[in-house]
Amino acid sequence: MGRVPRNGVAAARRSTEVIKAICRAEFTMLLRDRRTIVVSIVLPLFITPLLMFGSRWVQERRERRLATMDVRYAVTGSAHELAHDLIARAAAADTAGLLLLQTATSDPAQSLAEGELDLFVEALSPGEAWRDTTERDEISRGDTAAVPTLILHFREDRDTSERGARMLRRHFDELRRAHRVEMLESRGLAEMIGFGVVERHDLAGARQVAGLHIGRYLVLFVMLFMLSGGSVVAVDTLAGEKERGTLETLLTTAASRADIVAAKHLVILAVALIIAVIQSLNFLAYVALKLIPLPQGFVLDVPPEVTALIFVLLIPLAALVSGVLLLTSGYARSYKEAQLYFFPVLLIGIVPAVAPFLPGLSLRSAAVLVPIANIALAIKEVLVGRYDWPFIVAAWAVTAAAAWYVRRLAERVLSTERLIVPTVGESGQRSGEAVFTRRVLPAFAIMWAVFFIFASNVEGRMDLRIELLVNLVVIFFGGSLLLIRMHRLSARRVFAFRPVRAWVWPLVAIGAPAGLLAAAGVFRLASLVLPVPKEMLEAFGKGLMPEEIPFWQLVLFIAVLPGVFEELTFRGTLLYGLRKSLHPVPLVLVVGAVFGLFHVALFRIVPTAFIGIVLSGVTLLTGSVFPAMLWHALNNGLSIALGHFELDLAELTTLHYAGAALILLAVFAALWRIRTPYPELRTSRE
Amino acid sequence: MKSLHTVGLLYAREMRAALRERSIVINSIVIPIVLYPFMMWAMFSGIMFVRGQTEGQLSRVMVVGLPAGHEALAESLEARKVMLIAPSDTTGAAAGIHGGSLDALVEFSPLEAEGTQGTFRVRLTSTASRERSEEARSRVTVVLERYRDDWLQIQARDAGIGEEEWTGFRVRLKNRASGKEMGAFLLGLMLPLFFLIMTAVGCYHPAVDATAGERERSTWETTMSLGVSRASIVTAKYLSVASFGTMAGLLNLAAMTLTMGAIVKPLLAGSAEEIHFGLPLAGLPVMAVGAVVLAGFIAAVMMLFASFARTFKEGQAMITPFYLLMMVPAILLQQQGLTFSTTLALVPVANVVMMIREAVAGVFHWPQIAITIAVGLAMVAISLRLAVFVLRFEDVIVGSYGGSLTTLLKERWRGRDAGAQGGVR
Amino acid sequence: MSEITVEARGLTKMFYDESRGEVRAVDGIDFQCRSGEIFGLLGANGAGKTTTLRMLATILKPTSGSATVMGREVGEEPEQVRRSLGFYSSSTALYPRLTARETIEFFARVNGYAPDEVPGRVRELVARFGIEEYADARVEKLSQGMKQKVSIARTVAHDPPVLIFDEPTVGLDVLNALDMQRVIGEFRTQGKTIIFSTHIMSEAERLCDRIAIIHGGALLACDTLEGLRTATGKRYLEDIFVYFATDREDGT
Repeated sequence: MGRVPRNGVAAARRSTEVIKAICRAEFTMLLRDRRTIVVSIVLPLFITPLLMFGSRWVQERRERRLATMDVRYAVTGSAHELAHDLIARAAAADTAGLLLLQTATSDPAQSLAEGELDLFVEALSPGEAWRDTTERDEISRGDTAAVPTLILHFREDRDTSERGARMLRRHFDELRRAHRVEMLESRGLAEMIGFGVVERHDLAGARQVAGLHIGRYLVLFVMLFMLSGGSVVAVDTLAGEKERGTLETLLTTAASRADIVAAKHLVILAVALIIAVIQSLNFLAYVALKLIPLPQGFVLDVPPEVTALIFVLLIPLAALVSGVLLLTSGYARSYKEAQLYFFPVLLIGIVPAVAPFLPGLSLRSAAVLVPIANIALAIKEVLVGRYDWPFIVAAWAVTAAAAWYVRRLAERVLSTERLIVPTVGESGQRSGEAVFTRRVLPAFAIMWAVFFIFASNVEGRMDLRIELLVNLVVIFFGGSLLLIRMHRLSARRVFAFRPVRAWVWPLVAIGAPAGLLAAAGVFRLASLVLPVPKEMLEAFGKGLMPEEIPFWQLVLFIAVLPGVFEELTFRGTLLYGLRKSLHPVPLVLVVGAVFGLFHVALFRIVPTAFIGIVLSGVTLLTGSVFPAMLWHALNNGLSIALGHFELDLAELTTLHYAGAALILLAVFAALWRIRTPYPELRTSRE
Repeated sequence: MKSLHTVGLLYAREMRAALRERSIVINSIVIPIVLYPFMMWAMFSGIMFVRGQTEGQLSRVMVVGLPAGHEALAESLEARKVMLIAPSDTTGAAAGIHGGSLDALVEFSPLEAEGTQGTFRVRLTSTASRERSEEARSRVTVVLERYRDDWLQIQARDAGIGEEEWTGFRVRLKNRASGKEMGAFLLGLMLPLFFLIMTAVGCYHPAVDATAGERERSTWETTMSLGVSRASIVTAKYLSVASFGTMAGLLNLAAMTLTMGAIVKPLLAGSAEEIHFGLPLAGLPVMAVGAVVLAGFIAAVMMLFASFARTFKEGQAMITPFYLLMMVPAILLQQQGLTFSTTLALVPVANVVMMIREAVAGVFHWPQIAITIAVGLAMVAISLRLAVFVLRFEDVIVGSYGGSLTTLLKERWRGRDAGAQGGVR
Repeated sequence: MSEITVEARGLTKMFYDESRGEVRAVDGIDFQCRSGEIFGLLGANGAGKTTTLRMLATILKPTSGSATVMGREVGEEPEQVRRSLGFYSSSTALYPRLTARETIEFFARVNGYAPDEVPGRVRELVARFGIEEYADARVEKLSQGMKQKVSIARTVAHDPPVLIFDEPTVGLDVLNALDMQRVIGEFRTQGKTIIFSTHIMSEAERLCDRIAIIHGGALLACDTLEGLRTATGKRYLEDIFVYFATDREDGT
């Protein structure tokens, strides 16, 4: 949209006038849509307490049952007298209502299996062998003495059994402790009992502890309320209007797109805030009515000024959330489509809101730059009484800026002709090019699921080579071929089998090692955010390179075959499928990200996605899959070689990584100079 | 015979149409397979991540006045990732703990009683408002308690108390549930609820699409004017919706079972026995029957509500309350140790969920199962009867009624003729 | 001669289609319209009429070429352009949950009609289009004919000098269509510029002062009905249209 020359005050007043008119109309319409209000706002208000009441009832019933539970037990073994004595004393000492019922049985193990017993005590005399020596030692220390052993046999999958065994064990430990004190006292060592006793001094008041608990969840819940409540209006406000054709009417009026977006944003924001407030009040009402039990000593006491500060902090969050909803709705062409997008948005949106759950993550860190997460952290810190003002202000500003940016994006959506005008759109064909473009991502989601299910069920039970073959040939390549057949595509075109300029090959040979190094750097960077346990890495390395497989086979199965088949799948099928729907830069990023996601483990996603991006870039610049294949094979081959010679890239310095990144850039610059671009890329702005 | 053939034809058409609708394919097929495994994967990855982070963190603890002769204590603390900080400014320590630059303060002081040379008591300062400080407190506490126990034992030995006497006896816990039984137990906790949700989600879109959706696309009248009985149209539509529900439920069951192992494994790493997730073969037919009965009921009720709607959006609004209400008994069923009583077998939805929960564990109460199936079929029959009944009203068929269910019912109550007067025409 | 209110110069629009690639929907169209004139765009479905009109209404941006409305460039001052035109089409729907009166008021305000004068303007329009009876009923409860009246009223709510009617009679019954034609005729006598697109020949014949024939995105002819008759030697507009359309296809 061209800039409209505005003469200050008059234009601003006009703009306000327009925004007011749209807001009023939107609210009128919303309030008249009784059914939506009932279903999305009123109903949850009733269902929530019902669910809470229900789960509380269940919880209480369970507690009652367990408190007065009869634990049917039996005793076996030569030291049974000791066991009986201890059990009797435990029963006498118990105040929680544990009822121990001795039950006669000939075969306690059998009776336990059949549910006639809840547990049995196997009492062994000193020196008697334990039946099960593999059992993990639950009291691991200082046990060299020849003393009787009591083994509590129970079943973890049964409530009463589990609870009973643990209670009994606690009582036993308590009895022993009391006995020790007695012994020390009888030897005149009573004073020693006070040795090393820890006197705990907690700096946090009840309010701060409560603050920590609330602070962890608050933003998450508020986000959920705002997203689900706001989506009710959001879905209708752009996507619904498109479907009904009223958006076009609105776009032919003198209202500028900025004004329309501003007005709709305000409406969603208001509804999101109102719903969040209603739900919070609702929640507090249940707390007051004791429907939601609070932990003991929990003090819900937030002074008004803190409440006000939290509300101020929530405003940019609400603006961002409603902006994202508006944007989502703007992208969808119909009500149904908008609903389809809503769920992923919800899932992704709440991810940063779990930041307060990360122990040790404070607002005074890079986290202050992450919208939503920074607000969540700021609120948590405020609730426990830490006011880090400069960072609180920064968090507010960052999230507000993100909200503003999202709103600009929404304005741009309203200028994106493809999205606002009811055009011919989908061709209605069942298969073929156009449909393939739309189906390719869902198809890869299914492929991911199959891959994941297969991997998780055969892991460690099947020869690595067979597993790799199934992954590469059956799932990846087979899936690709199936897609190609279903949509009657040309395999040669999909897989980008095209000749390449000779100069590309040496560039690939230089680029692959540089890429590997740069990826190691990316990995290091990522592990600043997602630290990886060292044992995990080692286990992974071992799993991937078992020592019994000869080196040449490793090269074949881990370098060559993946190089060929993974490239055919990702830089072939996926890239081909998305080439027309995304511009080159997002295209490369998406293909890379999907490639990363196929490397399931959390810590591998980022570096593999990086390699995926590099490989996609190579394919786009050369117009062929072959250079990426070589690059990929070299990359994997090099890392096997490094592993073989026990070299660790993680020991290099930043300088090395930076150098590698520079070489990589140079290689790309050279590839750009001699590019033969991938055909049919999406280049126009719309 | 002929009507069966017609229903078959209509059913095939419905299924084909539904399978080409993106929202149905995604909600009834893709999401059941991918969603919960993915969510659980994300959740467990998150837990692993948090756990790894907590374990890897150093606890910064200021130690004041550790008496001589107890250097071993400092070593055991350091072995537990406690970084000992030399005492400098103890008054500022509290602020440091609150502000986050220090995690805990440990102050040793001598016991005052006679004959207690070389002993101490401990004051441990931390704050419960920071996780890292809490972690430091628990680390220090564990080390100190052990140190105390060991030290007391040495004192006891010096005073002539033998090791046997001091120890008294050992206690061990032995879980006798096998890995398979534990797997069945954990699956039984989660599967039935997800199964119910997914069956409902699987029915949701097809039900709206086959009724309100058709009206919105104005193909409803075309369908209703086909040269076949309305009952066969309703049956075919109903069967297709129920098929999607069944499919979604079973797909979800399979996907969950298959992925559980991989997802939960890292979390349970180190426990004695490997937990094995699998469904007992004998349970599969029961689960399949359960899926059919449940989907049959949900599909029937959803279609009944959705058939009043004129647009997709309205259809959703009609169905959602039922969808939400259905979750209430499911939540109640999350209770452990609930028995599948005859009374419970009479409660629709809840009985099927219970039946599946038992089948997962390989337990079968045949009389209850029979009652469950009978109740399910009866509910289906009643809902279908209602649906056919509703479709006898012309304005519902034509979709020309005012859009208000209560008005419609009122009109029926007063008599047929009143129908034409509602609203401005 | 009356003043030129709308002018298109080499107006071109390309679309991207997922199965066909780049599509040239409108191909270098030139025309001028004057006040007090009904200018008809005649063409088959998919000829590019709607795209052209949408470019004039600034919903779509021209790929190349330009157009002005009341002397303002569509690409540069879209808000000003839209302020001086009213756009009516079968795809520009009304808000179902607003009443007729609220609808008219809303569009008057949004289009920048002086706020103090809005209530008066709404009363005037309600009276003029005979909406009084159902002015306070929700639009969703109205019949087709009633909705049509409200739609026209909202189109002219801010009294714009230029009116665009994109296939206004599609889906209307004979009486409503005639009513529509009568209303459009009235606007002409008020000195407004009316751009009117249709694929119905008789309508164009009856109503339009000048007719532009669009086919395959290109403007094939633009003249008065008499002018077109003389140029082609045909009597009926159908024949004239076919003459140009087939001529074009033979040519390419």
